[in-house]
Amino acid sequence: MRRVLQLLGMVFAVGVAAVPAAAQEHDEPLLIALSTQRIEIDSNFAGTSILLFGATDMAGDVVVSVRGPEEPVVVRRKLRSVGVWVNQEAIAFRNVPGYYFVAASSPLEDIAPEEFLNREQLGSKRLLLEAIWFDTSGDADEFRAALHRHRESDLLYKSEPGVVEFIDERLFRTTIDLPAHVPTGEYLVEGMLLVDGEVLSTRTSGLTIEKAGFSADISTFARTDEALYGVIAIALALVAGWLGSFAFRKG
Amino acid sequence: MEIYLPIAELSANALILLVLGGGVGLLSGMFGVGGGFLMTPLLIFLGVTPSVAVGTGTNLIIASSVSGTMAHWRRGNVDFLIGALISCGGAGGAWLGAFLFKLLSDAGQIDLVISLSYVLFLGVVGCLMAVESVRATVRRQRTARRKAHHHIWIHGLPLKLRFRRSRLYVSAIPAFVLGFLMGIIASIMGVGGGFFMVPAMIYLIGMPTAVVVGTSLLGIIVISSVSCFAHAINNNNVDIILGLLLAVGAVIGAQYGTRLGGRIRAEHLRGLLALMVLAVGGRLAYSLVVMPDDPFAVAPLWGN
Repeated sequence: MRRVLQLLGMVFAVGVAAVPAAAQEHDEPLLIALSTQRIEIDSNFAGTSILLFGATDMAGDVVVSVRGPEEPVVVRRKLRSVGVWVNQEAIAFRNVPGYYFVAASSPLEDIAPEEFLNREQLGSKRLLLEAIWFDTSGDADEFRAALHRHRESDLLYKSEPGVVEFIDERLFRTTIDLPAHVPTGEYLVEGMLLVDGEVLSTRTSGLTIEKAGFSADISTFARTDEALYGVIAIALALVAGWLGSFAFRKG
Repeated sequence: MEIYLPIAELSANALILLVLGGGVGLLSGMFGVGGGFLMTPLLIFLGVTPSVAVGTGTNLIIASSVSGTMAHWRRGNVDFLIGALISCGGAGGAWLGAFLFKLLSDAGQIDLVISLSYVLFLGVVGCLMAVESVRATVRRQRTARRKAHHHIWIHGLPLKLRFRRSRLYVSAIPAFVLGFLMGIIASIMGVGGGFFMVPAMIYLIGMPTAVVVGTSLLGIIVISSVSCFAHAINNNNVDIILGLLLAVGAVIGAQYGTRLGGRIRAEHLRGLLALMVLAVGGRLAYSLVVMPDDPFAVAPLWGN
């Protein structure tokens, strides 16, 4: 309990407002908190980092994962046909997280058996990318690898897990990097305390990433009220053209 | 001044966009073409997705065709009845085009279809213009004698109407069908399509040259408006901010372009335009043929 108070003190000391509701359950041996639970992406957003703090009441290994909003994704492959490169093969995958991050206090393979890591999908390589339709005679793993490669080059996935750093025996922290093209939506942050490969405690926290500002309003408007947006787009263009011809009438 | 383009989802300098619009407007004023066929590929080269380039192109064309139509209207060079027929056919074509666009987009083939259409159209138009320009330069003195009226099967079609302004008594069907085809092309390529419509109106319908440009521009206003609306609803690819900045530049640029164009000899102008058209088409053809850095592409699966 002293550790918990110490953690809260530290969290508040760095000017952090968000404290998980779970903090009130005192009997859990694990506690996590994010430096912020809401990120607004405006037109100048170029990526950001948030801190995840936590405390444990006993010695063990800590694994932290962050999953972005999931959506079905299609991976297409171009092949040469009559001299031109054409999208010819495709595989669609169900429930692909738009962002994935995992960090652990020791190498994941040392913390828990492979079977457990696969079941919990810990580590980007263990994400369950289930193919829901095929339009190829090729190997689905090639398409999975391409998906990983794209997500890694966009900094949305990392090939290697991050590090959960213990500040002293019980307090830990890790840095979560969110790149410029991070998808908007609801994120799930999960912390796990493992002792000898057994999960002793699991804590979750939410993280919301949303667009803000004038540009975001326009983009939301264009997607929610398409007909009105279309009419306004036409009206603005008509007025711009008419004003232009009016202004130059004497010229 | 950096500005974030909400639908294109990238940041750009507003002044650069105004200058870009102005440049394309200048050229379109000089050569008497709409400029959509230059603007859409330029936007693609700048990193805007082909889909947003086309959707925004339709928006931009509304603005530039309005100012052009007003100028021709004031001189009485618009045949409103033919314009209305082209518009009716064009509205249907534009709607169908935007729908085909969505189907192709879902199938992952829209980028290819846009590029191929441009390579085809720019290649053919560029070659024709280049040949014509060289011929005209070589034998400028000779005046070719052309038949004032030559009859083809189109003149035998039913539903004949009297077109006062064009002094014609011809079938309504060709204008309607022409508009319909233009609508499809406009929606898929993000162009007005004047470079295709003007010769067709002269040679197929037999309209007098003086009223052709004003009338086709009137049709283009309606076609690009319907196309813009259909794209906004089906494909969410019309960027108002990008479209407006380019439009303001283009409308201003076109006014100066018209004056500049008057000082250069017509066949030289066409030769220059042909070179430009071929350069843009060639650049697009190159990107289709050259091996991509990564043959794999990742996209959200729509309509799941």
